[in-house]
Amino acid sequence: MIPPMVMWFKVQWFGMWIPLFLLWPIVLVLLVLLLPLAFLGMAIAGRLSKFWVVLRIILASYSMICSMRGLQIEIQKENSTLEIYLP
Amino acid sequence: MTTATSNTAAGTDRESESPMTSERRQILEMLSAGKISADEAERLLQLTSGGGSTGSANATAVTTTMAQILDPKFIRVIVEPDHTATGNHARHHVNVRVPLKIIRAGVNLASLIPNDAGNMVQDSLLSKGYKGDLSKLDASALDELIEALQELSIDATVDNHLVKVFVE
Repeated sequence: MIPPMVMWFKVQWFGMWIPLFLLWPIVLVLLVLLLPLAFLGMAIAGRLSKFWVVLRIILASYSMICSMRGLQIEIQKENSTLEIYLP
Repeated sequence: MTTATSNTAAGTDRESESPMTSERRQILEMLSAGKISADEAERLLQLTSGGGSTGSANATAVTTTMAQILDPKFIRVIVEPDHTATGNHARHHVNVRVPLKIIRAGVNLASLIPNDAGNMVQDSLLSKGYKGDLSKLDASALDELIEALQELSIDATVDNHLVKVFVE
């Protein structure tokens, strides 16, 4: 499973490709740094079971993001335009 | 004797039939089994009949289209103004393509919602007229839902707009 690497976003006349591939390494680094801290914090608080729930939520969110590949939204109403495309 | 001879001849014919003929047979069998609609069968038969492409290119196109029909990947929602819609303010264009995988991933994510938050979501859905119970949507129900969605095709006219919903 690979998350979307770029996203086309257009509002009115302004459209641009957003490089999501720059975002994922930052998210990964944050997770690697924060997860051990969260694990320690929850272990000290005696709520380690919650840590596994958090871990499952992170994995499910990742799966959700990956499954968004192919999503395409184009809406034109009066003079407004919104386009989102995740190839 | 004649029957035996003709049966043998038919068997030989079947063995020596071209891949394209076997594909046409497969399409017709799927149509008779109700796995595909008449429109889809027509589309596939047109692909098998050629149209300038080479045999292998045609076979690939047929296989790809068949896979798309039998295993659709997206729900498409299209809204276009019909000929009676007048004025710029009344004309809306919507083209949304949602991957079916999102449904499965969404249900997995929703199963992790704590009970209290889940009840709030359920109440909110009830207030908007949705009477289903999301907590009862398990893996088998989800498979049934996705299978049912594969046969989904809606054509409607709402407020001078043509609305089409289908899977592809």
